[in-house]
Amino acid sequence: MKSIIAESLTERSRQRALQALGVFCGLAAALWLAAAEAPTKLVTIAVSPLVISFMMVFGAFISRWSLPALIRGTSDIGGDVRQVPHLVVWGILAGCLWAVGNTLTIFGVRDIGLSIAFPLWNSNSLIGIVWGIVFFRELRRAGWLRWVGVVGGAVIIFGGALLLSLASTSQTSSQHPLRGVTAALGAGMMFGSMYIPYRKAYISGMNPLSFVTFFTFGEMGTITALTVGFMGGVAPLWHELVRFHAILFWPLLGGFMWVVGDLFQNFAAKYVGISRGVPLSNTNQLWGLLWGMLVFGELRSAPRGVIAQVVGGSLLMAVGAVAIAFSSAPESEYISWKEAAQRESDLYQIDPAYVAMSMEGKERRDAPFRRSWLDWSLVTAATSIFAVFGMLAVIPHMEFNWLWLAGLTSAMLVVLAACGIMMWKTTGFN
Amino acid sequence: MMVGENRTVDGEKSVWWIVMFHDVQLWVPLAVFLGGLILLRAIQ
Repeated sequence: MKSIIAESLTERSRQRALQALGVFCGLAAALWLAAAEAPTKLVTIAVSPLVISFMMVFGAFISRWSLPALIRGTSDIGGDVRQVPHLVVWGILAGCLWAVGNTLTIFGVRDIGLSIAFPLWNSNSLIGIVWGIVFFRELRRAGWLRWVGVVGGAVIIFGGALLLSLASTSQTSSQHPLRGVTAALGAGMMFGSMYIPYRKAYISGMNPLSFVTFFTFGEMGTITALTVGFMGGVAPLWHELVRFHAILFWPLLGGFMWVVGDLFQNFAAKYVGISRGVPLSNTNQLWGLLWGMLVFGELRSAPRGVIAQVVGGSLLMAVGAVAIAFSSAPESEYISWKEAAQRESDLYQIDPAYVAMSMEGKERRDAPFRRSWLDWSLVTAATSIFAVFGMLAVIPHMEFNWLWLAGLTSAMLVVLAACGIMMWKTTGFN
Repeated sequence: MMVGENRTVDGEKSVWWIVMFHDVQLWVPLAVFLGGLILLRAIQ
């Protein structure tokens, strides 16, 4: 093995610091990813799932350029493209997968509700674990205890998902519970396979802030094609957008929240791998359950047995995720991660020093970064778009519990600040 | 090395050839994506 990558990240204290950061990022991702799905409840007031998905992705598209510009400026993106141009393909493909998955989630929510669909598409953590082991040497040389923690946790998660699907198909008032379950599980497969590009990018040295800027072209292009195709043309889509213009702000905001959560998830995947980072962020299922039950009043008239199945299934999934998360990577497994990184460096002739610095989460440039006029233009444009839609917005005629809405929102903001500060201090968002 | 310049491995294959024909880490997510499109069409 070439010495630069092999000799990187050898200090155990640095490993622990990055692992702790990765764990916190995964948990922070959970709060924001759960909240991002809340606007999908608009399907219950007859807004087309495709319109909701389209606006959510548009919100994500705006945010994926403006947030990196705000955090570190866009000059890093050029540097990453010069070092690893091939990863642009994976970035775009990951966006395509996300767009299909997100659209499937909306059909799932429509047919079986948020509090049941959510845990089902979180089966993506199982898929992510498999790909992490198969493609990226995760858990290699980790020891039997880690295998038990991760694989055992995955089995528990699967058991929880089965319990939830039984609850939904036996008790739902929907005429299409099987369709809803299929859509939710299909979304899980999309999201789970989306993590292949994530991990590939980060062991190759790319900054997550760069990765998401290419990701967003895949997602925006795919969702536009899907929406236009399914609706029968641009004119019907435009008609629907005009018809529902007063509530478009909400899925737009959902897209922004998704990007915040997704950035946290990307950094978790970078620092603890997808086999651990994804289950951690999939504790969003519990937050999704809270949103569904506390804010939107889902399942309040369901029999006790069904509620017990839903709560039990969700808790099982959470226990499994925690078991996985606390099976931290030992020194020997880091060697396997470096071998995976070495494969990418050899295959694509990537500068080993570039890869090594990235694995350490260290600054790769000599001078501090500066934001340019382009960065401020992007931020200004994005803010203006949100402001315009916000001025048009009305609160939809749905039942909310405002107290719980305020409580969950406050929790999100506190975690954002705390995790953001930790990321800045530990890695400078590298 | 600038964007668009042919990066070669051992002076033989370009990066883009490697991407398209030699890296299974592309084929798997690509196949899943196509399967997802079929599923969407079926349930829509």
